[in-house]
Amino acid sequence: MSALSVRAPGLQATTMLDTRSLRVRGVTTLEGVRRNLFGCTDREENRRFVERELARQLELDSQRWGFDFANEKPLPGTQRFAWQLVPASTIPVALRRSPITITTPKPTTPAQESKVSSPENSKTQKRITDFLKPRKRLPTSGKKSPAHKHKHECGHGAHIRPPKVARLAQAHFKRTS
Amino acid sequence: MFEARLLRSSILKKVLEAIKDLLTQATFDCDDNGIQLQAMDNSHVSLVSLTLRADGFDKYRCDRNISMGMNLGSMSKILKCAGDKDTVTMKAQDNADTVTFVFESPNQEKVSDYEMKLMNLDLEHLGIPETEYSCTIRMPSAEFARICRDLSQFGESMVISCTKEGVKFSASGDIGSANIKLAQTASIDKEEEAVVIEMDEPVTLTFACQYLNYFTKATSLSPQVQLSMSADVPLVVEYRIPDIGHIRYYLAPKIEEDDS
Repeated sequence: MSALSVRAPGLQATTMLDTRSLRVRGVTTLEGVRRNLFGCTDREENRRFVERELARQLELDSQRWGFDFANEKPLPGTQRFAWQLVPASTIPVALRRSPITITTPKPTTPAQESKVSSPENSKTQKRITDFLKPRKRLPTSGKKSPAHKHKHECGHGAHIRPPKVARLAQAHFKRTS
Repeated sequence: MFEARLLRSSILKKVLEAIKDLLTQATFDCDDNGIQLQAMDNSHVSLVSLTLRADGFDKYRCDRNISMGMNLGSMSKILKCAGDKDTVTMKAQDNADTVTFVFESPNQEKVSDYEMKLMNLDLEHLGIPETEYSCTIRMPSAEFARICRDLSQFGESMVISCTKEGVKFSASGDIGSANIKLAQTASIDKEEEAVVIEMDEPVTLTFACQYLNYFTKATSLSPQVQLSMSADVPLVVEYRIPDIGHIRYYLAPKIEEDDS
């Protein structure tokens, strides 16, 4: 016989509810217990959070690949990759898909936040790869460890032709004569 | 085969302490000139470049160039097993997939050996051009560590401003703001305690305190640290390791959005 122990506010003692006594009271089915353990969810806030995160990730990806994924065209200016448009007919059907539609939420100005604005908020952290480019690695005998293969994502593919050393003296690096 | 022996294992222990929190794994490139390591942290905001010259080792042999990919957390655990006064020998066979560390106590009565599996890391190296920097600041490494630690309590970013008056480190945040100014040391009694500033052009740049606090883990390697800056290029924080090499940290600055 299944039994439920119920303690409720107002009850002086623990009430044992077994199926037989419930039947006597006319309760024929036991509904599952549903408890609000963590507070009600704000679905609207969750949706906004997810959209913000998706939009942010889209922006990060756009910067990383030099491509506007929302509008499906390369970003203006010189980018790390050269993008080439190919007709859809050259792509296998399984790999084609319709363009992404993203409804980017308008940035809401948080009126209730009275945060002291500091100058550091307007600066973006650059990456070291914005300044230093890959160079050809010196040929080594290499350690092959089949049991421990690990590929590290460096943010670009393995087939980039490294620039010659002379070209590394970019505009960023000022030479003082 | 490859074999490198250091009478003072403390150097290698300190080197690992200086990099293991910033890098999870890295490749040790060994040739007959010595050992080099270059790796970015996972966020690609900073770069570590380590050089240990062959002539700094008590015994060094490298028959063929080898690259050993290592998990730095594991290597650090192994090196913690060495006593500070122990001799450490690092060795690897030419095509092996493991590296061995041997620690010998000073009286050679205790000998420990540890074998670690290597990893096959396919990492690109970045080219670091020879650069003349607009500002170079040499100062006690402990002083710099203290400044980074203190200012990081005030803000996430530190502004380093080098002018002819000296160098100023600043941070600001919810608590308020903080500024620390250092002037060039007038008379140098002990060179290690001096602050030396060479400035061609004034430079002001902003960096993330979090990374600077990782870099200062190398403080125990050298009494002095050298900071090199030019406008809009990564900061270089260099610790010379006496008699054997250096460790250089490169940190990308934080730049105004409309300037990028």
